[in-house]
Amino acid sequence: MSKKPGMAQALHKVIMVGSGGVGKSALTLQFMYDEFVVDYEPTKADSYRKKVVLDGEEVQIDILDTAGQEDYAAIRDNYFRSGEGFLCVFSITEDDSFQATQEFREQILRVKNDENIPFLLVGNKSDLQDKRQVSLAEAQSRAQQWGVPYVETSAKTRENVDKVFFDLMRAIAARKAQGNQSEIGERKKKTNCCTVL
Amino acid sequence: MDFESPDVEKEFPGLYASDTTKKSESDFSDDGVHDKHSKKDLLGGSKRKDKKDKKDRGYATLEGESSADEEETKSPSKSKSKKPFKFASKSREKREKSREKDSIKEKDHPEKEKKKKDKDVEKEMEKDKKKEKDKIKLKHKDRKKSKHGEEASDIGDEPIFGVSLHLAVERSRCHDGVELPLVVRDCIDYLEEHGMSVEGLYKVPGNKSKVQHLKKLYNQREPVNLSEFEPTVATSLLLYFIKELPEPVLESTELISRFEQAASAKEVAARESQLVELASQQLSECNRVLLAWITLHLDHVTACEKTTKMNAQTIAMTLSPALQMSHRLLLALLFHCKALFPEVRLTKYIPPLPAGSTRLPESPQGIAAELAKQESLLSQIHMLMNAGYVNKSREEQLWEVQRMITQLKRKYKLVQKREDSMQRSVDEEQVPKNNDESQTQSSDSQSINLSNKLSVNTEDENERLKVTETTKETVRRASTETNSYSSSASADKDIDKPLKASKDTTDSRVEVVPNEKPDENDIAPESENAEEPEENSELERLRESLIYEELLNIQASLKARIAQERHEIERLNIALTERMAAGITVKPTSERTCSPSEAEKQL
Repeated sequence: MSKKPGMAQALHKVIMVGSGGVGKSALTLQFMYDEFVVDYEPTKADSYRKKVVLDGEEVQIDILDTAGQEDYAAIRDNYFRSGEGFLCVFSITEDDSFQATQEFREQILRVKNDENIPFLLVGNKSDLQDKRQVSLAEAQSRAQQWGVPYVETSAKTRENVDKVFFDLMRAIAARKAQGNQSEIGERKKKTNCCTVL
Repeated sequence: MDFESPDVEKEFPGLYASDTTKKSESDFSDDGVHDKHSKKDLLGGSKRKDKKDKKDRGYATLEGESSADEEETKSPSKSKSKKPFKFASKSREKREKSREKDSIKEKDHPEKEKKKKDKDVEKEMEKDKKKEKDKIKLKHKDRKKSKHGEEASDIGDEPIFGVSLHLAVERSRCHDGVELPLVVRDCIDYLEEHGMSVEGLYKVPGNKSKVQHLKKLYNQREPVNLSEFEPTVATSLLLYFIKELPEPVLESTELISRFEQAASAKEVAARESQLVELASQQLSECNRVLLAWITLHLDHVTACEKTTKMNAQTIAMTLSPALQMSHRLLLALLFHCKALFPEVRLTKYIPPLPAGSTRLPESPQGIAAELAKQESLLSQIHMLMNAGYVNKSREEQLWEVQRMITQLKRKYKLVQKREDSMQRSVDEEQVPKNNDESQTQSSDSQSINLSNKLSVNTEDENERLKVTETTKETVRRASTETNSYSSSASADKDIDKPLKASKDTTDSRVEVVPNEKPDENDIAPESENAEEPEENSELERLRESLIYEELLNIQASLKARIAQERHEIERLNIALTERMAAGITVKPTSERTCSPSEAEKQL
């Protein structure tokens, strides 16, 4: 699913997940266009492509910004299936959104059928420390339990915004490099498709 | 129509070789089919069954109709040429006869096999069928498999050909709101553009193997460029599609006979009104659209009689069997087609912009229209993926289309913002003037100012009405989406968009209103101050309080308007969701820009 641009430019497919209003779109837009959108407007699904230089190599990143709202859960699977890496975002000012990450993680693992899928836990809105509801330790322990990195970001101040995208791309690139020998995940995916048929 | 004509052979040298190719096809595709077949058996649950049931009905109606058709079109040479493929069994021949309306024109093997296959699958599920048929099934098992092998790739199991019209539309949609399967639209578009100078259009059949090839492409949703083929291939493909439909274009034998009856009315006016009533009230939407497009198109062919050498008589003679109606009925439909379908215009289909297009439409309307197409495309991709047809290229397409939608939405917002800011700058110009004037306190300028303001408001209002207009249009377009689960998702999105649009405009309105407020406040305290030192300010104060009141009134009425519009949007949304839930499809009200006569001129 991932080696299409093998000869040309590498293309990494990143998917933003997380509850509604945690700042998935804000992070994406900040990364894409260096803009911070104040108005909240729920996303259904949006997709972006950008050329970036990752460790000296020009690559393309495809970002799919999904809906946080449950209403669109039905089409989520179709997107998840084609993602190569996930940014699982919650807001440090909202505990519910942190609790919801558990469910997103499970859904991704179910669809991808791959424990080692590149994945970052992202605590957004780090500029609002005075409204913090989720402690750093709490988030870190969950990330540790999943075996994934935890990063706090602020879409408003751009803190760590590039970092999360680039870290994830590196993880995806590494995965692709090693994945050429063992394509377990991919094969599993295929069997998955067939049973649906 | 004569395949044996030397001209045809000259033109299409491969024509008679198709027999051998078909044989080899069935041979080579035999393998690797067993598992597929058994899978189908395992999974062939209710969905298949439903389809088959529909088909059955189709066959039942055909049985009544077919004999006449066959008599009309059968030529001895053709039945001869068919023989080598046929099995000796008499019973089978009989079945075949009843099953195929015009086995003649299309001697194509795979099609028969396909129908057989369908029958067979059905039998496997309904075991109480006759033994005789079971025997036949065994006989043709290998052929059935060959058919499977031919379309073994992912989507072949959900073909466009040979399924009910409704299903074909759903599977192969035109994304501009016209409820036709893409193949029909493509053929008619192409013939309207390049067919009107072809002599004997519809009379001369196209190269069969090319038709088969195209059918395969459409069944697998591959991109097709008809302009690489002869117009005769397009006519044959169109007729082939129609003949493959399990139901007639006029839906049922019962409806056909009602149409026939109406067509036999002697008085022109009575005939027309009866036909109009039947076409507008009895036919289901997709059949009505198909009938409309075909008759308007054929009417156009006859209008170009000079070059096509086809008049209404010859068209009716040639096509009434395929359309499963009498010569007279088809003539009547051609004669009355403009009255029957006054709202239908044959417009060339402009598919959604391909991925990576850099030239996006500029106007808000253009963007909205393109957005609707892309969303329709997206929902179709989701539908296919939800049905399990997932492959790399489709996933790629999903991201691409999604990207296109994101780009369009961003652009739409940008354009909207630009318009808003233009509006705002008009308002801002207005505000300082207002203050100046209240200082000079000239009654004349005050009244001018007020009328200025009013004119701005009405301008504003017009702008807003325009937007609500487009909003409604989009909602309407959304409601033409059928009730498949993922297209309802896209409809959701369509609702989102107008809501957003209206929100944007209401936002700008809200900003206009507060702009007035400080203005008014400025006026009020000022007049209070003025009251103390000078007595003659009494008159001014009165005037100002009147203006103030006026402004308040305007503000209130505008607020009421906003509330009303919001309410209306909500109401429309509710109605829409109800409709979607009830599975009712609303008549598409898509606009068609070019009429057949215009198309003619273009030629």
